[in-house]
Amino acid sequence: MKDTTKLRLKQTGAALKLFAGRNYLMLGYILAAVLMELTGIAVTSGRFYMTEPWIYLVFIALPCLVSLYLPNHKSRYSIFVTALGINFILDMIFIIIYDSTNTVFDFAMLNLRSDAMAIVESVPISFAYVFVSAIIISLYCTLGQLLRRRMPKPARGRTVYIVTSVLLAVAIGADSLLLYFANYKNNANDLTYRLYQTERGTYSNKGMIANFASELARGFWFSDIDVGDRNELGEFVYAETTELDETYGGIAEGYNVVTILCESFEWFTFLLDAERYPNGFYKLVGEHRSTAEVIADLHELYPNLYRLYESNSTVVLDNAHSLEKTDISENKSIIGNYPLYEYINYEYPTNTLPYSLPNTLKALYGIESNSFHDGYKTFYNRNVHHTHALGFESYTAMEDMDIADDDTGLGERNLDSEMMQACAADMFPTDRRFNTYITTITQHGQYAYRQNLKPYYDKMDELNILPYKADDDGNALRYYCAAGMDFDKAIGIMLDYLEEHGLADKTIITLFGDHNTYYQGISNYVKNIYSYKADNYTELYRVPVMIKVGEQNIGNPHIQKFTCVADIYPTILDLLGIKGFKNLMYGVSAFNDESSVLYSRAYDRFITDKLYFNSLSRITYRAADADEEYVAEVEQKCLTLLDKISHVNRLFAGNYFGGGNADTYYERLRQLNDK
Amino acid sequence: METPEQTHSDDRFIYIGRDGGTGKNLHGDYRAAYASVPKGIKRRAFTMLGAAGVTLAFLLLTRLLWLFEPLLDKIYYGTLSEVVYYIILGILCTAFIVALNEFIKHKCEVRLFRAKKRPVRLTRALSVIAVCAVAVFIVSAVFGFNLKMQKEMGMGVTLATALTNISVYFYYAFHLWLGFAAAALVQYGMSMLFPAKYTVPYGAIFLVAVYGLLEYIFETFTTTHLYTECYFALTFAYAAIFMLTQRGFHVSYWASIVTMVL
Repeated sequence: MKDTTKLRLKQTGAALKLFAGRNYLMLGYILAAVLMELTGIAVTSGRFYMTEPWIYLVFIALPCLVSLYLPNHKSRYSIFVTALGINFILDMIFIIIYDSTNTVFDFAMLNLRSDAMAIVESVPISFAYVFVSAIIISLYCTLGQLLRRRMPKPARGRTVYIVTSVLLAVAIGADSLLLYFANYKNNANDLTYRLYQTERGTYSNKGMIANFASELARGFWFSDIDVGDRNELGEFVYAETTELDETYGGIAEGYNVVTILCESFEWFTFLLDAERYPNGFYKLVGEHRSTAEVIADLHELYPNLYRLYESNSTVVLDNAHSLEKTDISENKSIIGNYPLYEYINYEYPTNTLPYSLPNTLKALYGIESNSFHDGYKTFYNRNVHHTHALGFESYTAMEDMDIADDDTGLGERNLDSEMMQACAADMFPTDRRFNTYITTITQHGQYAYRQNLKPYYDKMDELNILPYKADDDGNALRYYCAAGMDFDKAIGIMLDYLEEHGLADKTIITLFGDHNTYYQGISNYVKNIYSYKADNYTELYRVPVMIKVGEQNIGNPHIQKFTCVADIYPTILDLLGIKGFKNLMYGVSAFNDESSVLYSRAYDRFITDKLYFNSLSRITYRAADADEEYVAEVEQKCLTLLDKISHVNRLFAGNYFGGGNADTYYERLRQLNDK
Repeated sequence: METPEQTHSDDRFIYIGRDGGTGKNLHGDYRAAYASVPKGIKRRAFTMLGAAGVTLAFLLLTRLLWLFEPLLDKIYYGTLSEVVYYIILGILCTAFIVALNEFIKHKCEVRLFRAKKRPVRLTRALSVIAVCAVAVFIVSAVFGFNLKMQKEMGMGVTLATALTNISVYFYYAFHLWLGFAAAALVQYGMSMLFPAKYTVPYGAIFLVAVYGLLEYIFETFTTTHLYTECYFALTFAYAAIFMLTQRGFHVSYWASIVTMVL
């Protein structure tokens, strides 16, 4: 018995040795592919392993099995080199996406493909991945070239083909099953699972190639949103209504509305804050200049932003945060919500959204709304989305404006001041009440020398503010702040125009930063925050929000509670004295005692000023004063938010308000507001 | 590349395919070696050296294209005029190299770019990989373990600068193409003029001491390209690769390009 076992083991060993001897190329390919994938995972997540490698392993089995059909080692070698090359290119793409956006690939990103170059704008190429993979591929090519001449001829024959075919069928079946099991839990109608998900939001779960395949499978077969019971949806929409704040609610009733999405706008554009922005203007303070002197100079460079910031009529949201891309911030500020999975500008541009600010104001007061942007008309599909889904009467882009067309997409950006000068009469008409939405562009990255900002560089140099440094790699902060000066000029033109035409005392002006200045790591640099381990990590996403309420003397209040971009819509409604339907709003009025939680669609992260996580089971950043009670409170808010997102998913997918439901909405809205 | 022994049958030159080494100690010194070379061979060798010189001169002359900068500058604030310059350079270099190849083929019976069937041996191939890896590693380490390529065209660039920087690689690639051709001609020419038992790396020395140095000087003083010192240092790696591959143009050129870009 013992001898028989020994003999069998020996025979098996000999067979394996023979197989290995004929298949060095295949074994080498498997080793090389796994090493490359693990290297890619390591450079993005810091982990040299996969917790769910099965899909990837089956994927690399496919070229191995296909190679068994090929008659000689030369053709097998070619197929393995090609497979390694594809593996390398795909991994490289996903690493670049990860390094650029801090997120793993998701299917909806495919919608952004036409705008990708303008969105990414930088190509972070991982040294470790390229270096290690280049060596692996070179070694494989070299050794493979040598071995393929020395190896015994591959086994051929009917048995081999039959076994290979069976194995291939098993592999394809296994991959399909694995992709199914990886996605069957996705439920666009109940997103609660996201709060406790095991996915880390990195590639250390499935790896890059398998995540790509899994996302494709999800996108094509598992992302259908079941609209479900429309009555239940209706009940959900109207279940709760907002209340006006006792102090600020309705103080701007009857006012015009101007909302300005300020591209990459940060407080450090014009403020000096030693604690929050240690590498900002504070660095100018020294032996030769006091803090007060620097601040005086900044008032000279940014007179209009200070005019707004220090006005007695302005409410400042000191603790506002944003972690989205521009299009999502824009939508959240206009409609107060955003679904998961899809980018609505592309997927639902013609849906009916009666609750958007333009549609709300039109329904209640017959106000006409118009949108302006000094960028390309078709970018983010705004030309369709703004005039259809969002309800603007018109969308005016750079092509329609009488301005110098500097925005060639090659580095220069149009000037916001020129847009404001050229469009002021259309933006702020004197013969009717208006709602105007403006999206700026001058402060958009990248920040390099721009010809049209030269007057601002000169002015900065006159005051010795952020002078050009030959040894500073790019002088990015200097160029960014110069762009901010043009934005300041635009604000000045607007404020002057409103004053000159008697509109200043009956217009709410809201300015908000759509996201931090992530381009070229400026936000990290100025705030000196480079890791989740920082004591104040969420400070990285703190952006300005200022709301000027006509000429009212409200004492320049600074609101310290946590707010986010989703709070802008309910806050404007609150000031205008309009009650809305709470379940359609992810945020709450800035004047409300409650505070919201920011869920970033773009980055799949939950944020408050004290927490940052993609799953409660792994909180990435937790401030020292975030106790268990606080976490439990946030958990409840997240669950409520996810319930809203689940319903919003259904509202969008089914275009719930298309047809008669929009009329019902308007009727309910009028009833709620006694109109 | 084809070696000269395939083009003539003079038994006094027993080329054994090792960069011109004869394998036998036939001459007492260089003077004797030179004296032993028949006139016809000398003429061909000088033609090759002359062609190498013309190649270098051509490379230098292409820099005069910048005199047309005011014309190119009309395009877009001067940034993309560089791209136009590189496109023109690419066309000129390709035309020149085709002409050079034809000229050498007719006058010297050597084809510069015919792919050789003889593979590079394993130890040499591994050595080439090692040279490339070490060069890339050192350069990246100098940049804080960022690829030079990323420094040049990665973070913090506008699309215009990225385009320009990418086209600079093509510019360097064209220069290197002509550089390798000149180095091969120098290696052939000198090996023919001074037959010796062992290979003398004339081509590699030329790559560093003449081509590399001239490129460095002109790059530094006539262009605004980044890291010219680094590019000069890389010519040592190109030279090592050139020697290791025994002037195997395709392997040495592409390995050098990868090293140069990364």
